[in-house]
Amino acid sequence: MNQTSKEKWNTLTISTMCPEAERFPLAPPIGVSGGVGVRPFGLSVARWDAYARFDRDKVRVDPDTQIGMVGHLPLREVMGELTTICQMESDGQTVISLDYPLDDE
Amino acid sequence: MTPGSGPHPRVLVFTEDCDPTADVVLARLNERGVPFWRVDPGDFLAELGLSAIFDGTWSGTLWGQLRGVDLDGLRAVYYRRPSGFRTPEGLTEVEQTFARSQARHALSGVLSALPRVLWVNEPAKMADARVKAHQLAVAAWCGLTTPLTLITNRPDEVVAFGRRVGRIITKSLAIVNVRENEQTGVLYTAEVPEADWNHSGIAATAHLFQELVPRLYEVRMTFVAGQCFATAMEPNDPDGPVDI
Repeated sequence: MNQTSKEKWNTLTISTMCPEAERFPLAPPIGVSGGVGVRPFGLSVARWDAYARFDRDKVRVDPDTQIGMVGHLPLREVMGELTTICQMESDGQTVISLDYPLDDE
Repeated sequence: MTPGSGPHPRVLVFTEDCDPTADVVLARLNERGVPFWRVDPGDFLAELGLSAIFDGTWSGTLWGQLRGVDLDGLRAVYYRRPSGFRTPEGLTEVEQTFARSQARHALSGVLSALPRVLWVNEPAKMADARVKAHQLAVAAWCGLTTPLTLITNRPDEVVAFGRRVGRIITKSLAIVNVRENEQTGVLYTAEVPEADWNHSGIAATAHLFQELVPRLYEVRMTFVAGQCFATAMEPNDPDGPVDI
């Protein structure tokens, strides 16, 4: 593997919901051809997602409400503009409600 | 606010600061006056304290700068998207590995051993549920129709599979967020053109391939206590029918 490829792999990190797996560098690929690392096929066909248009490091949790904030705006409002605009019941008109009964237990 | 000055939290919310999905739930908890504590286990070593004693059952306290929780009073853990444990500066790699392992087994071990605590969801079950090979087997066991699927690291097997089913897609075997060259991305499901069926990169690791199933939209279903909540996901762009 040449230096360029090695540097490339060093900048690539993989994370899942598993804390143990987060922030571990992805190991270099096993397959090597002509001295150049073979990039896993799945990565080579990846389409970069644009959801991370905001800066994650700017998110702060409000100490009182414990809600994520970006500046003076709740994060969910910032994200709401980036994600779906169609969160309706199957009739296409009624906004999905979160008012489900609360179980005290 | 100092630990113990407000109502004792009965709900722990494990997630990182950036979690808009959890924010929606937490806003509701605030409205309903449910005392909770949002905490990122990644802060455990630097900013959180844990002291627990076992005498037949576990009891003790988990506390932070603004809040704390009495383990005896804990009733639910909302396990969302905790970040990895951050270790103090100055530790060697071996020491960091040890510190993370100790922290993980202490925190998750004590909490998971508490009686009468509802986990939403249990980390071990979530870990199982993320595994696509397991998902397919469970889906088939439940009687659902499943697409023909190949997991392999052999390009020649992909060629044979493609010739058998016609059009094929590939998707990552697990949820993966990739950061590279200042970019953050996720690996979307993508159709594999015939020219790539023999791609040398397939040999670098295992990959999942499936027959392409034509459809207008997909359905995401959430199962809560015997009730199914189904949501149709309708794509806005031409690639949508494949990658959602």
